[in-house]
Amino acid sequence: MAITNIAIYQDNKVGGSNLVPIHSPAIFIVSVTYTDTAPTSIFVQLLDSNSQILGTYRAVPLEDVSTSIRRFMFIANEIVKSLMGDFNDQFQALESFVYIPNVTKQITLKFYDPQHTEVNASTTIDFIHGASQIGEYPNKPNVFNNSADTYFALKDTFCYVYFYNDNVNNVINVVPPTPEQLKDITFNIQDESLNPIFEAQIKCLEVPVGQIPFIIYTPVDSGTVVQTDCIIGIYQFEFSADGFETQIANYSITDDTEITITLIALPADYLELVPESVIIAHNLNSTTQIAVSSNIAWTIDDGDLTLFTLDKTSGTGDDVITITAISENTGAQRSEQFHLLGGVFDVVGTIVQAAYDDYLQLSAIVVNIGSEVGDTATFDIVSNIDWNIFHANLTFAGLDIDSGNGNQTVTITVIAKNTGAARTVDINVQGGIYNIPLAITQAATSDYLTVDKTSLLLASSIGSFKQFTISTNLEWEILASGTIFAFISELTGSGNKIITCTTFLQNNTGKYRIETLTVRSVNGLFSATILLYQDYIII
Amino acid sequence: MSNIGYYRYKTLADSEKTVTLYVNGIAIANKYVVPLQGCDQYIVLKYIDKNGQYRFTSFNNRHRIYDSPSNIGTTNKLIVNIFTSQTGSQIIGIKNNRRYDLTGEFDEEQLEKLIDLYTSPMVYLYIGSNNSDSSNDWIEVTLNISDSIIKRRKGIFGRVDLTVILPESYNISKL
Repeated sequence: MAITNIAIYQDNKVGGSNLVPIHSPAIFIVSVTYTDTAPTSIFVQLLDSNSQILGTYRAVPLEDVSTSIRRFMFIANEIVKSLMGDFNDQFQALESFVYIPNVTKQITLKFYDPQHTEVNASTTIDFIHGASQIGEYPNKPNVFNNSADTYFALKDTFCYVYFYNDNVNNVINVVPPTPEQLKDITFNIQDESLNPIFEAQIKCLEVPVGQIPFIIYTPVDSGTVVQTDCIIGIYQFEFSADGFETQIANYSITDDTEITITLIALPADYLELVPESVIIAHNLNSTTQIAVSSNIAWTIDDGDLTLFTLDKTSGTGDDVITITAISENTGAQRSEQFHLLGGVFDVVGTIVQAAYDDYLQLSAIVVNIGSEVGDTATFDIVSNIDWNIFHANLTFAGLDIDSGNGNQTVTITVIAKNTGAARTVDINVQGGIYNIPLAITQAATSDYLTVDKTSLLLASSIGSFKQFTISTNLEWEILASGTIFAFISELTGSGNKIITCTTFLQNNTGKYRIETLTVRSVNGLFSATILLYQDYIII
Repeated sequence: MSNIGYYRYKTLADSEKTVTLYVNGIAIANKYVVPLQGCDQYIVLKYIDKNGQYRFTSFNNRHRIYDSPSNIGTTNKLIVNIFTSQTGSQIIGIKNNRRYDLTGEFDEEQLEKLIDLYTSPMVYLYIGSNNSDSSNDWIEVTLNISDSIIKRRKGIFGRVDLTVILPESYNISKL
């Protein structure tokens, strides 16, 4: 028995609603594809919204729909009912709008093969203390969609009105924001040449500390602005537009304002063969490589190749293709072509098979080497002629030999540490009619510097403190800007360190103090920022 | 920023009103509150419906209160003097089951909501006053299922007769 796939056949979701009552039958069905003998059961794991396991059960066979697909059902209602809270009423103040726990519970059902847990299928359901009748939908679409409903109560007594919320990111209320409370914010999104990309109008509601603000968006066609976080008066927005890198920025918004955002354009599409022509030895099964340099998806049309095969016919981004000669060349030099296709590009690659007499080829077209001094890598030269290696541009590594004859293994050794991004230098191996490029790529630096917090909130009093951790293998320093109101335990150091920030001023200004801490490596290559807030005394 | 599930707004049914849900500041859905006309002495019931929502209904003041006292038992008492003895058997105590026979007129829409009252596992009778609403303002009651008949015709008011059985009442006994 081998289960190859599990797919959910009946998840009880109708009309987008995953609100399933548990006081009427709630049956989940999965289709299990298998080879050999049919499985007799699969497991069902129930997980809460924090991915904690609530229990593991079995789904039982329901029907065989073919010789390789068996359906299993999981009768969830009684099991889930035991996992739900009670539904006793809770009392609340008049004119209050509160969350009612226990009546609903979000649970993920994960169906999986106990022998191979990687074969699984999951669905997330919001179970509710409720009942549907035969002939009704197995969920509660009217409740889920907050369809109109009427609540009766004796005149001048109290009554409840229920709404359902299906998204934790929603900010919900039954009171609309007043025009006076709303701050008008205009985001002018522009490119690096200051040309406008789009404009977004946002209304933001100021609310007391600890509450979440309303944000009303004006839809825009050419880009999006999304509020992604709010840290007590500091609003975080994410800006995105087609063809540009997404940018996240924080703002303290206290009044109508206009903000200009500059987005950085994504690099244009490109698709290249490096080199566009390669030489392969005359022998049967001899191989060589050609590189694809690209930032898009691509395919290869190799329909014209009769002498060679390629190990890949499609891919995305940079890649290396291995070419194999499936015919020995017993005569003069010969060649064939293939097409590399992607986006608007049609790049022609040429494979030249050497004449019977001479050959020179390399085992790779790219050699990757480490970033530290002393790291080594090798490549093989396969030849029957004299050859030379031209490597004047290779400043960060040296070769143990740079000329020779016949087959030889060449060792490359790093002589200069890489302190930045990965870097590549081309060298050439030349012999006879051959001149073969070889790319030497040194890995990016292994140095690092990170902090575990992006913001800290200190109390309004003197002596309030919070900590953050610097993780690095470098020497570092901390720079502060803005309103200085806290001692920083250490301003320079090296390696990992826990930093303590302690207030030395009481904040009675009636608004938050903000200080920006920049942690950066002494070599200037790494930095991280932390926003330090101080709460204020409410007078 | 919020929880998945029910949110509940508690309001006074002083007039017909629309309650609007605002999601991210935008009006998304409307629900309606309709006050039922009544006068003093109305009986108010609270029950959980098939969607897990607590609803309220009220019955008029023409309800009847039934007490069904029954004898717990008697003990024999020795008669030592026929002239001075008061009895030959003494009652231990009386137990009593109180129930309300309720009557109400409801329109078609109200009747649709009221159906869930008969199948609700949680029915409460309001014993508080002045709109006080805490756990001691409600007592849990049961319905006499056999009497639970809703008489209705489409488009017209229907009469509902309902018997509510209160929790056991406690009395002085000799036990």
